[in-house]
Amino acid sequence: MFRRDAIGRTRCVRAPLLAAAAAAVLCAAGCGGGEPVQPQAGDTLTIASPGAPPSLDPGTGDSQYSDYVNLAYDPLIVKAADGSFAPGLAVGWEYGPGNKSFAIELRPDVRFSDGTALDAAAVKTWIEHAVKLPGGHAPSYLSALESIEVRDPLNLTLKFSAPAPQLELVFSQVLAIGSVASPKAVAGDKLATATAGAGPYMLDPAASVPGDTYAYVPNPHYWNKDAVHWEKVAIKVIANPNAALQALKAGQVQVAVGQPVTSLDAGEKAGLKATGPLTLRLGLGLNDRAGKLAEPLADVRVRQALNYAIDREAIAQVVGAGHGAPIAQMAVEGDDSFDPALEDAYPHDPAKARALLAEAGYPDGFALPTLASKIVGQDLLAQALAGQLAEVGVELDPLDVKGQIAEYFTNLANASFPAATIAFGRLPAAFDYGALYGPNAGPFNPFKSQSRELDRLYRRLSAAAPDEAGAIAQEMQALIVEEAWFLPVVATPLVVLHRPEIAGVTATPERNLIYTTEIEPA
Amino acid sequence: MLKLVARRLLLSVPLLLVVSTATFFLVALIPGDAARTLLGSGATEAQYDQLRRALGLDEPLPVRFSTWLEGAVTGDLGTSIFGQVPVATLISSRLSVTLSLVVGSTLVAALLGLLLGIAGALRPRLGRVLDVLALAGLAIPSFFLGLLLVAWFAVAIPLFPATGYVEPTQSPGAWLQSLVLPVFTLALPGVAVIAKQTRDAMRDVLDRPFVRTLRACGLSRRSIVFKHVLRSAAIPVVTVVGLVFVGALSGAVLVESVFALPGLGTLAVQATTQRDLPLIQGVAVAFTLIVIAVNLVVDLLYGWLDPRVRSG
Repeated sequence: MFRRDAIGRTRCVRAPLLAAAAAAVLCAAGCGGGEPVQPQAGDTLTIASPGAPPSLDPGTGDSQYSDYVNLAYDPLIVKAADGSFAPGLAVGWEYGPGNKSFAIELRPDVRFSDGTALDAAAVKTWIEHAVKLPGGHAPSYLSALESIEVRDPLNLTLKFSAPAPQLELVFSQVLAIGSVASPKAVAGDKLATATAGAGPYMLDPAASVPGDTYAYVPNPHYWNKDAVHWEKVAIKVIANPNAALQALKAGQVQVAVGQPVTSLDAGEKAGLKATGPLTLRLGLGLNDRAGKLAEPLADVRVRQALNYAIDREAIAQVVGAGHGAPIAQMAVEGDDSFDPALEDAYPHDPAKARALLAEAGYPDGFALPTLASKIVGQDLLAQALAGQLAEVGVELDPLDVKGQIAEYFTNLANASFPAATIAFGRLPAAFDYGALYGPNAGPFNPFKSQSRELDRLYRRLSAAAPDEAGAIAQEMQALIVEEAWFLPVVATPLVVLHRPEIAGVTATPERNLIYTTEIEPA
Repeated sequence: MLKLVARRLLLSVPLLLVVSTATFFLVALIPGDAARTLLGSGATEAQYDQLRRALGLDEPLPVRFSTWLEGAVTGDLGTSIFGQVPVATLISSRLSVTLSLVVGSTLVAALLGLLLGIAGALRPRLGRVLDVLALAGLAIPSFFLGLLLVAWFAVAIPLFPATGYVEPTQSPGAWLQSLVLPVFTLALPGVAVIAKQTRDAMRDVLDRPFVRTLRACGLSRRSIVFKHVLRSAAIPVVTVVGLVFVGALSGAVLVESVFALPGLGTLAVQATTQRDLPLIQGVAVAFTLIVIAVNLVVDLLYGWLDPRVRSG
């Protein structure tokens, strides 16, 4: 036949030739291009990050993207791995009476990467920029800031109209408000896309691709040359955790930050090192505490019943992929408001839950419309809670799981649901009051619940000396737990994986974020 | 031919308008906005309102759209809300990645697909094997294939990088190296489709009387297959190659994610997640322009392959 005998032979000659050509191209790419270069200590550090920052301006105070900021900006105060505060650009600081003023003494002979000198006027310009920055967090932390007095080139004093707590943390690398930028750059309005700090490195815009790769080179004006460990640092955005893991295994990146808890076991199995202190508090916000949308929630016995109804150990295993810790309070060991006694406040006791519900007038339970998000395992948490609460007659119905974070926040802020899953990073009690349960806490207190006792304790906490603050923070926590404003379930880690030839990737219960500038060759 | 090009280009104007209008209003209808995403968890309502005003998100939708459109017709696609970088800069920095990936995978798919298709048409037994392979090629999810290829050829045998992209201007060898795994991942479904289409079209043409006539005239077998049969069978194959290219554009979103490539696909996903409307608009326009260009090329190829199209 025509097709089989004659034309078939033509194929026999051509196809192998083309296949050989394709193989040659592959070989040229695979062999000719050279094998992937294994990392050389001291040369380039590449860090994989799951997301790009919306802005590089440290004034936003967004700790989620602190790795991008910390490379280029030294903070006024450094939070060390043991939780203590050490000198950064400031060599000394002191609270005034009643925590209503804060004096800062600056390190001499420091220059920003653009060559401008660091002085008290520059710090004043910087703080004034941060508190005015649209979308920044500084207004929350420094809401009572009244004025800034420049006393001399190296000394300034911040004055507040009300006690201002936790300023060491505010001005540390964790919240980044103390990551001072050059006044020239502040005036030039370029801080969103460029860096001008007094840190060990500076952004190299020519070698960076916005949203994908951020390349940093040493800052020629840096005051502490011994702290510059790399000739180049690159942060590569790798949103897919599997891709980040493979890049680590292949040696393309040396550190991967912000990885999901499921990557802990996979990373260790691949011979990588991991650090994963508990970072996020997950639970259910019983937000409608006045019963506007769900009347039963107005009764504290109902809210307590929900707390008794769940098996935290079991849910923590699932949601934390074996690495989570059950919590019965909105705090984790190491937080100022953590009280070990509160961990037994609500043991798993469905019978007691049913009894409390019956006592409150809901023997058959009720339907609780609930909002959830898919972020960091909240959807899994919602499903687990729905199953366990159904056993005491409380149906999370409808359970609306939002895939997009913006949609979740809009529904949360609009008080569209009486209850909502929450995932909240660990903060001191003073900031929890401002962002989680105080009357002006925004989306996490959508029904504006208010407790006079809580407000009173917050005022005391704000003005307290450091040795008294812990006890007051614990009192606030005890009140929240007793009133069952939340249904805390599990604390989960945010994992950082790194290759064994890298050292200084340190996160601890006291400081649950790594400090990028500490990373050095092992 | 010039008329054809002019007609196609004229038609692209209303198409661009429809796509950009639909994209703008559909995205704007989704609850939530960039201000909420930018502020995250700890912000108060006052901060949210302040940022909305600063970003101009408090203006009515038609006003925002007309402002965007006025800029777009002058070539100004606005500034990304996240990152504060001009949209045109962001798109141009990522266009080469997606084009390298999609053009590369379409070329590989076309080359391998044609080879397998011709072989299948000439060897019926091979054709049946091809059917099975085509089914397998379409059934394997690209992200899964990508992960497998990375595990084998980047981690177990470190021939290629697991992630990332190198500009050809920086190092042509490293550029080719960074593209091999993603291109093959993206090309596989296309290979299956093109091979099957080529095989079917070739068999159809081979059965036509003119092929017997050509044989009777004493033309060489090579000439019959490559000059006459393949050319006659090429029009449906070109259509499929065009469709494979467009499919690869959407497939690039997943493949770019698996290989952490800084392309338009990852940019589109990121912009949508963050409700970065100017960026979403810009990416939609870029994708539409690419599809218009590909359709134009396909039309021109039709004209080259079939003189009747030129005269018509």
